[in-house]
Amino acid sequence: MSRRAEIERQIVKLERELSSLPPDQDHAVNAELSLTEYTRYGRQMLVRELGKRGQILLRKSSVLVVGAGGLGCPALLYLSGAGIGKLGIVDHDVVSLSNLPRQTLYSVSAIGMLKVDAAISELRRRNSEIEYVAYPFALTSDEALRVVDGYDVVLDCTDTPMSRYLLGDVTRILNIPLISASALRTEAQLLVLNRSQYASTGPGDAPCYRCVFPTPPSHVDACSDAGILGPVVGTAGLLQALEAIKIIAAAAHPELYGATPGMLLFNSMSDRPFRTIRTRRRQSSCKTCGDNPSITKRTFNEYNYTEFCHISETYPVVTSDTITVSELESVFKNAESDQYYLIDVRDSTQFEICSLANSIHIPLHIFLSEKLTGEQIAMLKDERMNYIICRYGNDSRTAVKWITENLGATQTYNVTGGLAAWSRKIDPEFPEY
Amino acid sequence: MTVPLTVEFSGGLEILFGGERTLNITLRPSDKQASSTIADLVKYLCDERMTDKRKELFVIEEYHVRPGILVLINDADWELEGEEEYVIQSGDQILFASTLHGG
Ligand SMILES: [Zn+2]
Repeated sequence: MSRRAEIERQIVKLERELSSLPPDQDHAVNAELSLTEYTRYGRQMLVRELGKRGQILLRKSSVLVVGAGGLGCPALLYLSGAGIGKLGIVDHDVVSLSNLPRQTLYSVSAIGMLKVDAAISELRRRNSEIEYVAYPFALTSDEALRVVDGYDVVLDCTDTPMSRYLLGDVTRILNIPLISASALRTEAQLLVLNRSQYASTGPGDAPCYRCVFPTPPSHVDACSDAGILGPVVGTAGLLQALEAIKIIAAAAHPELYGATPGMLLFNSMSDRPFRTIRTRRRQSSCKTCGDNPSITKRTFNEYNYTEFCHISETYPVVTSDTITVSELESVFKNAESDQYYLIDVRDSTQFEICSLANSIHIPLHIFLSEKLTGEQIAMLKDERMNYIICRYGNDSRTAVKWITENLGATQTYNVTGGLAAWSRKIDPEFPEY
Repeated sequence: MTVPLTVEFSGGLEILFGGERTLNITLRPSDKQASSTIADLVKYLCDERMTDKRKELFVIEEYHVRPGILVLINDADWELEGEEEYVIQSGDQILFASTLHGG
């Protein structure tokens, strides 16, 4: 037998032996701390608001983190560091290179792994005293009650309105505090829901997610389109971890804790970057926690979240005035360069990242705010073809529609799939960002 | 009576208003009215200050703030102040914040 196989056999034997042992007396009976716990958590126990009693509460508690991305990673790092007894992680996704700038639990070697597996293996290297539970799927109404039930605090680190409403409802039905955060570009938002006071055990007059947002948004920007700065989303994730620790530890020293912040707006570009907002209270008309709730434990899995969150299509449907990237490539090859214009309508930030060599830059907002110069209008209206391009083909479609409606008959075509399709189908050397 | 106030945009709404995060505005009530409400302000912003023509990103059904935008009157949810009916006071700070969903 190889040395390696022998060690592995010994590990299996020892792990079996370990799992058959009762927990240390020290832990189970007195709820006292082990000597290594005094050393590991000593610095935070010195803080009066936590203290030893707070530390014991953290160890007895469980937190569910839904979404192991830009919010979930930093939150998990600090919850695990603080010694929360049990951490559940929900995420269906795998690690990709574009996650690495802000999803701090993942390294290059984790690319392609399930996020829950990569996260737990990294967290275990830092703190193996904690129980980690992996839920490698997207939360749907079928499993949500079963997964969420029993956790003391839930962190919403997801990125779609649908998952936010789902978690909002399920936590309110189960009476679990929900700490919801979101981020985009240079801004982040934090909401503590289902609790008004840190030390309270019930929602009281605190709103649920649906109280604050009774109607789903009619328009949503995603990080992959609008962008996100790592430290911005990281700040929001850390605030979530902090709020969870406060909610759990408050019972040890209720006299030191007051009201939760309700809602916090963080705008990293503002001269007043942190603002606390007075939110509305529980709404009697709320479908989940109002006087006549229609979303209850019994009806919950019949509720159609996909339909409820249907985002109205802001952009017009594709029309015949389109051209594919392959057709565009043959235009470049076969047509004389004075027979067409290639117009890139992305914003300046994106245009600076990369652009096709022969393109003319006119950002979409120049069209929509009617700031085209006479020269540009003449150019668009002359006999040459106009090929309009953007990142994915949506903004360019809006520009084509604007041109058709405002400049009359021109030879204007939308490049479907945009520069992303160009990278994938025509020129793999053209950067995808 | 004219009312000076500050309007702020966040969560990407500033893009619809020429990239301005803060506007200092003086509202003049119409002839029939003695004062201006949030509803008047929203209409004024759409008609006079919006540079982007995609009105549906700010309002629905003419001049109602679309779902997904929080309206904050002096740092309080407008629901606490009477929503569209709230009568704007001199020096008020009104924030329109698009709710974020990224994570
Ligand atoms: Zn509610």
